[in-house]
Amino acid sequence: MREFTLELSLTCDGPLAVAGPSGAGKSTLLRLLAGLDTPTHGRIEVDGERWFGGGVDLPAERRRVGFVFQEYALFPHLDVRANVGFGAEGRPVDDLLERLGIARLARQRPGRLSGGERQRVALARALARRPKLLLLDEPLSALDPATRGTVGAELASILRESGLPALVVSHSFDDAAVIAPQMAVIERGRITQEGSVDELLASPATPFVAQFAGTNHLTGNAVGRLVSLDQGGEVLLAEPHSGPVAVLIAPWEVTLDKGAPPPTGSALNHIRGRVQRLGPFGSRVRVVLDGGLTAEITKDSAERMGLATGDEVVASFKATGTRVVSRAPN
Amino acid sequence: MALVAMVVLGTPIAHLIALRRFPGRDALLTAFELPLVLPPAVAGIGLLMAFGRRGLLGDELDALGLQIPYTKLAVVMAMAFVASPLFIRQAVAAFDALDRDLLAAARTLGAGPARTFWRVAVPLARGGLGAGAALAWARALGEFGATIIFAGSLSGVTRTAPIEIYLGISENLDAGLATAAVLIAVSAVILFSVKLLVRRRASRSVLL
Repeated sequence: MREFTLELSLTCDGPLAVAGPSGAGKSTLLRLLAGLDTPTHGRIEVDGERWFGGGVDLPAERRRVGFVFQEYALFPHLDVRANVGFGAEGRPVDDLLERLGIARLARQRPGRLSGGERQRVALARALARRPKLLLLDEPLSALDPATRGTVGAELASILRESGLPALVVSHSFDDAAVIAPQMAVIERGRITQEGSVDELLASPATPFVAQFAGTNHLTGNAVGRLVSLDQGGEVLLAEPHSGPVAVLIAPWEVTLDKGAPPPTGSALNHIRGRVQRLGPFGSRVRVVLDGGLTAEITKDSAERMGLATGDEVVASFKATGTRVVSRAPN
Repeated sequence: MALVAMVVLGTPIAHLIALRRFPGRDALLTAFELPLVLPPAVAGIGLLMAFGRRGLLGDELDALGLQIPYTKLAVVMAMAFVASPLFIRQAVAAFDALDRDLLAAARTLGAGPARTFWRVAVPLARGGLGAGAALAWARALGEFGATIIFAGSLSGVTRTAPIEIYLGISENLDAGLATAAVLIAVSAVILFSVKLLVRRRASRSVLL
């Protein structure tokens, strides 16, 4: 068992995304809260009620959580109604089935449902327990990319309507951003930034958050409109600045050229690099260069350029495409 | 009756062995598997040493007015002792193959360990449990060595089919052959059913 120190006191009255890389401790956090794993020490309190610590260790079945598992963990031998009714303690569940649009599936076994339907059944089952807290572990990762967007939006509105505090764990910034307006980023068992999705995009607190959110994050020293980058090279800004700064560039502001940059363009910043990896990102292609710079270009452009891993390219962006934040000197 | 005893006692034990990690788990599993590799006659002697009049528990049983060897109870015990590893091995494999998230889900939905066991673990493992029970039953049916030593061969009391056959071939060959034919048929039907059952459930449990 790995060791985590996790100090967090979250006040959430709605959905909060807990996002971070694999192995950061996100799922562990949910399992600890639900009582499925036991922390070596610490304290868990939910809604003023002590669940763990000081000699208290409430067993999982007595903690009022609604847990939605990554693969949904629906009982394959029970139909939808029985699945939802499992934790309902005898309360009728028809209203809930109706509300989540799964009433017509009541007699079906989970094996015959689509990914989106399974997720709604899993949510209904969790809600039927009348939880004080909803815990969702990677709720979109079991779905194919085509349905992720719509199911995510559905999930977001169900969570909002439930009015329950919900922790939604995700290793994908984009999934998390669809589901919850507020996000906490967890790195190696520690929350490194908490805020709205916009805040995270605009001013990432750590290089990881920047990379995770997909914002480019170049550090350097500014003198006037010129920033000498720590990694070498220079960036021209739109407004003057001074001292240690982080230059943030949205990936869609970055254009790519193979070979030498065209001298006639309006972009004044050019950074040379090699394609480290590239992959589809919605209808776009995300290209990561070896300097850490990420560009988002259309599929068409990527195909036209015949872009492949290892290609030498020049990344260009306009001075107006940059945002600058001051940072403490290294 | 031996089957009922095996299933009722064996299922929770297998569940425990499959899903918990505790010190001595391997030793426990070995103890339950031991009868599988013992010669049945040795198993019979073992039972006699434990429960016989001059056995380990002989005095205690005597005090209670119980005498086990050479009774129907002895037949049941001998059968259960020799055949139970088949059931337990199969049941452990069936429980081990369960998706742990399903058991965790039941817990988060307010089901304590007992309800999780009855409503989730047992129904999901029933294919493997059924296959194990059928195999164990087939083995119990053919049990000879431990039975004849621990229970003897009292006509109408402890004379099982295999013992009938053994005595039959020395006295009346035809009757012996007839009983043998019935046993072969019953065993074949059981084994075949197990195969069908396992295939239908696509169970991951091991068939010995």
